[in-house]
Amino acid sequence: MKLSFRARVTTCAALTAFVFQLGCSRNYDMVVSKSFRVYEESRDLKAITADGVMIKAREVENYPEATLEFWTDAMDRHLEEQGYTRKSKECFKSQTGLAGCRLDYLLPHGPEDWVLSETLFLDGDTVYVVEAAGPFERYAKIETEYAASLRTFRIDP
Amino acid sequence: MHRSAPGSTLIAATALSFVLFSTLSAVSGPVTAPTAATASASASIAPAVPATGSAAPMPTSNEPTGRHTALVANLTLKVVNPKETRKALEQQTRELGGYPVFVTDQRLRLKLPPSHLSALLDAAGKQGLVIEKSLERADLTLEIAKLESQLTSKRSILAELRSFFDGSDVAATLQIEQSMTELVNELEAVKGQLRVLHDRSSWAVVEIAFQFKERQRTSDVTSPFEWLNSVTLPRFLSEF
Repeated sequence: MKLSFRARVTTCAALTAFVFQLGCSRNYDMVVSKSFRVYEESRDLKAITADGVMIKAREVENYPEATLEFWTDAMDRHLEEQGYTRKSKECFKSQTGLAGCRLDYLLPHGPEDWVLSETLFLDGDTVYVVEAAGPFERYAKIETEYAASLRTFRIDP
Repeated sequence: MHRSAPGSTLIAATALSFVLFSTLSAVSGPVTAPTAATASASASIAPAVPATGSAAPMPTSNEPTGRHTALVANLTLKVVNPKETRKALEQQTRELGGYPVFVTDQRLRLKLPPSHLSALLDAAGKQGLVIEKSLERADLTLEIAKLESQLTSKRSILAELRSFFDGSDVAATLQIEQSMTELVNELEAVKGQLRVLHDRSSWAVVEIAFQFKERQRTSDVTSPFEWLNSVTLPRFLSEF
């Protein structure tokens, strides 16, 4: 079958877009609560509440290869050295059985005190970092539902 | 023109020299054994001569140990609703015999009897997350003992000066009166300082902040693990 030049260009463009999409799409997901609106166009999971509490997830390389406890400990020490005050620490299992640890920190930011929440999940050579941040009082309002959302975190095979 | 008799002037001059010497000894002389016992004793042997200034009663040591201690507790407390917490803590303080001194949305200064300090700190701790807690203790016993001994000496000198009025002429009387005025001013100053110190030892102060203090800002520290250096709030906000 002989394709016209135009048809070939269109096919190539479509294939390129598909491959690009395949390479760039995230392989994890999480159900965020109804207080959050999700940025659908974003490659990473990104959501925000009406009063400005933000969630963003990203992947980093598990290098040097280490356990979840190792990274949790390293992150905790690093943030406390910087002056972040740990508010809470909770290690849990997601609905799919994936182990995760959430550490919430307090810090002054402008005229307010903010919470920076860091949750780590580990899968092979990837560390999944789910971060949330917002003013203390506003974060406190959604903290429970956010903790429940984190339990829905899953990695697609 | 009135001429004073040489005898009475001599008496007045001698009296003033004595007073001057006694004043210097009282102010600069060493306070021996500045113990609580001394402090209490010097307070209790105050002369019968009534003070010409303020008649406010001077508190004496009422602590079982005889020590005078100033307690200041600092607490940084993170709570969801500072206003409600503030009201609850004010109420709790009143129930414990204290009172609020300074109240804003983000800060609270409370005074209460030292014996109830731990109860209030425990109650405050239950209201939220305690980020920082410190307790300062200052021993005021020596300072109070020094001031009380100065007070005693000055009162004695005042009583001596009064006795010199008899038989002195006008010039001498004026000189004695001037010395007495100065002495009364000094007495009042010492009494004022004592009142402040007794107040500091009678009430514990609790400073509660609902927000981080300026000095607790975060600083940049580099981690040997590269990706951890990106775990910061400014990076999160800029990349969001």
